[in-house]
Amino acid sequence: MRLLRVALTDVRGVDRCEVRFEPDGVTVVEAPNESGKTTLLDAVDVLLEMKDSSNAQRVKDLQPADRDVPSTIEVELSCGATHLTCRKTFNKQRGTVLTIHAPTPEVVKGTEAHDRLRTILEADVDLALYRALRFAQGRDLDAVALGDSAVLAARLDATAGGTGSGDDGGLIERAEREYRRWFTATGRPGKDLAALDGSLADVQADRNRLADDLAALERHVEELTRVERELPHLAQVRDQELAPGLEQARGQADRVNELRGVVATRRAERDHAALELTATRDARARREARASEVAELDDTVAALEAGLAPRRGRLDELVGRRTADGAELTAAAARLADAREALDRSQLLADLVGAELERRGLQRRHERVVEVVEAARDAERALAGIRLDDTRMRAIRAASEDLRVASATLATGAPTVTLRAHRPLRLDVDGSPAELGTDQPEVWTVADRLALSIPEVVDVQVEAGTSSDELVRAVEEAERRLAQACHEADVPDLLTAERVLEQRDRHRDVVERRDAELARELDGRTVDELAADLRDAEDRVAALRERLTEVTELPDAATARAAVDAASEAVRGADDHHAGLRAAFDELSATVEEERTAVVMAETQLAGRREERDRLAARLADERAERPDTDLAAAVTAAEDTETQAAERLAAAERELADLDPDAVELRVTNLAAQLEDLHQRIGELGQLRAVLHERLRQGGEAGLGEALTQAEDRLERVRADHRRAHARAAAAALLWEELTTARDEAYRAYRAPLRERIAAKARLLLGGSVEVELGDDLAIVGRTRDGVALTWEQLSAGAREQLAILAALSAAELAGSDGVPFVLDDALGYTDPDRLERIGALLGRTTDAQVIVLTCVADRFRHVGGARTVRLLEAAR
Amino acid sequence: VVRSIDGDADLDALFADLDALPDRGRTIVKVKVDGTLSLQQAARLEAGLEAREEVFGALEHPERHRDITIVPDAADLEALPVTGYAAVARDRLRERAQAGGDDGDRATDALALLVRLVAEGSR
Repeated sequence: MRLLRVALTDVRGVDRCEVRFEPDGVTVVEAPNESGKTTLLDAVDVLLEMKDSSNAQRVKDLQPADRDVPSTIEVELSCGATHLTCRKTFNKQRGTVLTIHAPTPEVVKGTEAHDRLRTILEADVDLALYRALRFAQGRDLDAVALGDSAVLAARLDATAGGTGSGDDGGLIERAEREYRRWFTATGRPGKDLAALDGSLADVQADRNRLADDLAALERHVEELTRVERELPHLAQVRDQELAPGLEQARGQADRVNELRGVVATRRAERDHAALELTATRDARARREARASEVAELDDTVAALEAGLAPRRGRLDELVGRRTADGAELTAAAARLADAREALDRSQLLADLVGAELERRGLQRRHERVVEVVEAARDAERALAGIRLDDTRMRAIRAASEDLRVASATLATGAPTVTLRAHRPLRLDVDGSPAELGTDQPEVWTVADRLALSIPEVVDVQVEAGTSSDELVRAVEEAERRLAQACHEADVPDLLTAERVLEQRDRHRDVVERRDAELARELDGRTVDELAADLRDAEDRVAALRERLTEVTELPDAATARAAVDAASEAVRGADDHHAGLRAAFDELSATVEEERTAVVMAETQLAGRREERDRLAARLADERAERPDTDLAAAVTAAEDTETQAAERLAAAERELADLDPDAVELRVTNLAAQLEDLHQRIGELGQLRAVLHERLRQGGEAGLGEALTQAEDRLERVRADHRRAHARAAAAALLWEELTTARDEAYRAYRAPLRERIAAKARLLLGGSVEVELGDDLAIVGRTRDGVALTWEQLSAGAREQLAILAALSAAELAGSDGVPFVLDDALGYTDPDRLERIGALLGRTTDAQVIVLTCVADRFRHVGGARTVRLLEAAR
Repeated sequence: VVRSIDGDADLDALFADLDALPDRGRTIVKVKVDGTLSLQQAARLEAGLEAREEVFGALEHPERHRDITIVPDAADLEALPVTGYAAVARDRLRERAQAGGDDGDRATDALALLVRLVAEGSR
């Protein structure tokens, strides 16, 4: 469809205007706000959709606010091969005129004109696409949903090779309806299938219940037959066997009970006689026991008296022996005291000897200490007077060595005179006589000069040269240093120095040995302590001597020790003897005490037995006086006879009872009574069961269970068949729905591609760089990827969404081509910056296969649309 | 009415017999059929019975009384006026039906349903 011309008269705020549109390309309609731009296209919609007779609000709204006038809309358009002009007047002077210019000129009026117009539009105009391509002011920035456009779908289908959505005449909806007849939206079985399943289960349950009831009925018949057969048999057993038997047994039981009473009486009589006999016998036995007890006590008293006399004699003997032993013990004690005194004196003498020896030792040590201290003091004084020490000694020795070396050097460096005699001769050397042999030559050193004289032969004078003088001075210097060293050490020469040094060492030895000797002699004490110990020893010796005044001369230590040992031995002998006597005396004393205790106890026992015998004898005499022994014997004999007779009567009664076998009689009675009770109960139960079974059989017969079961099985078979077929149909519906939707989705994906590519190409021109768009099932844009960054539709900015929506609509309009509809932009691109506006303008300007109508109040916004026809609404309204 | 139906001739005969029944508005008819039909024939049987439900006092033709084996033939399927994805779905179902087995039976039923739904769209 192409809008070619729109003319309005008295529509809303527009008095009159007429606008012509380019059939292919862009027409820009400029007008200020509220000057009728939107009214222009709203009026087209009303003309195309509403009858002139309509009183709808949108029709009423056509009338100008301040005037009661008719509103006339006239639209010229082309669709398919049809070219027409339709004019409608609303609200007042209503009327419709449809003028068909092509293919066959024709004029139609009134309702027929409206209907004809609708027929033409529905046949040739994609109204869904028409609505989708309207970009009205304030439109929500949703993506343009093109999925409902049949024209677009057909074009895309054709572009994609003919396998796309196509127009399936509602097949997919019907398939979905069929599928949803059996399944829920989530794919679970729907209520029909569930009802069928439930119905099948119910019918199956009914049939099973009826089958169970019928089987139970058959069991009841068998049970009733058995009960009818058993009841008479049980009655016969009860009446002919159990009841008479029980009566007979109960008669025997009565006789048994009677005899039991007789036996009880006899047993009581026998028990009484036995008690009497026992009492009589007990009295006789007590009398005999008493007499026997008195006789035994007589014997005991006699035996005790016989044993007491020898004990008393032995006690007297033992007392005498203990008196003699006591005198001997006293004498031994005196001897022991004497021996101990002798031991004490010999010990005192030994102590005096030891104390004297200690005193002497201490006195010697004290004297030695005094001697050592004084010697050390003399040595220290001598050492103080000696100036020679080791250093000075080493200096003296070094000076002496230097002198020896200088003298030797002088001897070897001076000239020598050698004489070799041809015969022995005598001569003087420096005035001293000398003899010269022939065996070896004689050599003299000339330190300064040498005078040789062979008497009567020759005098020879030899003088040393200049070099000998230096050697002589060296010797003199050495002698001077030696003299100096000796002077400093206060000694005349080396030899004296050596002796003084030896004396010094001896003095030092005395001083050094002083401490060792003092330590040995003092033995850990000080000198004062040693002196104190000496005084103590002297005091002890004096004290001991005062106690031993008779001793004038002290023995040696060994003699004193031997005397002590001898005295000790004497004390041990006396002590052992005294101890032996003491033990024997103590033992004898214990024996005397034991014997004395035994005699006292025997006397006490004898007195007790005598008293007891006398008391029992008196009581026995009293009892015999009251009841003689002969009377007791006669009473026992009479009681024995009575008890024997009672026992015989009891035995006779028990024998008679035993002959009746009372336990067997009781068991028989009990058993027969229980059998009879059980039989009564069983007969009652069977009677009740028979009544119940009769009632159930009656009810079963009335219910017609057999026929009901046959009907239930038929019904079950039918429901099973319905169930099976319904599931088969459901499965077929599910399979068909699955295959159709799968194929449709695949086709959608294939045939969306041309539209997606066309939108993406425009987007690349608009945005630059790499741009891809993603379309949803309804062909709306759901996402955009730019330079690798993917955003969903909702994540895009308002401006980007508006721009992409316009590109999508423009692409759809181009794809629809001559079968398409106008793409209307009504005050759009308000969110777009100038650069993008220029690019969109360029894209719109390239449009040749679609009709684009731009309504704007800002003329400058679309000045970049090349080749556009611009209509200023105010001018058109003139 | 109990019939064995194995083709268009039997269908024609069935419908003719039904139409020939007297006093149809007050007549209760129970139809029980068996046999082997193509998809189009099965759809024709279904449509023919449904069309006569309004004519008779009662026309009972429950599925449990219809033991019909449906064997779609080439004509059935080629005659289906479907294009695009619907044709793709038809061809896939046909392949599954030819494979046989339980899945084949389901595919056959689905093809029959497709025939019926397409026919509904064309009415």
